[in-house]
Amino acid sequence: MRYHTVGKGYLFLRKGGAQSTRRHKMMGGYPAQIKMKSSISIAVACGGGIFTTTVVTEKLQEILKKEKIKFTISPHKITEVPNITGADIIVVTGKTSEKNKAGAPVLMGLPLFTGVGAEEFTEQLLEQIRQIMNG
Amino acid sequence: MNFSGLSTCPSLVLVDCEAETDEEVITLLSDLARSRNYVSEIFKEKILEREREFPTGLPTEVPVAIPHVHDGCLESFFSVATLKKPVAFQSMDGAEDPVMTRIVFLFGITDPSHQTEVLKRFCSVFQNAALLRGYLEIKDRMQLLERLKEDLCGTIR
Repeated sequence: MRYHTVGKGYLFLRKGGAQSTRRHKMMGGYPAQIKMKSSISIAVACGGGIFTTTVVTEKLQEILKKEKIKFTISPHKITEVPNITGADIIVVTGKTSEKNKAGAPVLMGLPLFTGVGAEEFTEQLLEQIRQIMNG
Repeated sequence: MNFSGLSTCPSLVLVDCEAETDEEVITLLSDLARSRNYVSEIFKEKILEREREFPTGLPTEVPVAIPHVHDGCLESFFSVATLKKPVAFQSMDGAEDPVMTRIVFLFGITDPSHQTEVLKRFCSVFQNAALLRGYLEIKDRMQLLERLKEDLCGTIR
């Protein structure tokens, strides 16, 4: 009889535990919330940090404002890509085979400038941002 | 002539330029900019160097190239050359195939934050094949300049 009660209690607790875990996942609950970012930091880099950086920064601002994503954007030169720190994503407009030492993904953002493949790029970017922001 | 912060003048416009290589076009336009005192002596070497390291061919429907640099630029300007025959520029995105460029826009920019609007306008023009094809049909530099002014400054300010 005692065994049965204990067993029931155990079962109940476990069930409750499982439920709350599921709820946490669904709502982006407590454990995930700690990792979740409220804002995304993007580094934009082109050959000289002039023309395409200026225009692509504007285009990114338009996209992120429309999606209501908080952001900071900083201009860089492509040669700085390996050593940029504190960026969640790096968007380049020129050729580079370098990786970021801090591990930020490097995306080819020239489509935002030429318009060729701009929609695909935007989708890819937003997917990447969602992944980063949800931890 | 001032295009929302970018200077230019008819002598910086070449129609049906017969250059054969990217370096030749860049050299021609840089020399013109130097002769009008938009740039100092180092500009030509800097922009050629920059193009070798970070090429500026854009793989758009009507391909263009946009060599630009700030070293040696005394006054922000743009110059343009429509090309009689397409000239190979390496692609900005590092693709192996060169971009067979029809029009070259060469810029010297001192501080891009002052020219954001006009640079965005240029970007829209590069994406607009119909406008670019129109430029290729113009055989008079004043006419080309007027058309550019309409397209780049139309509703700015």
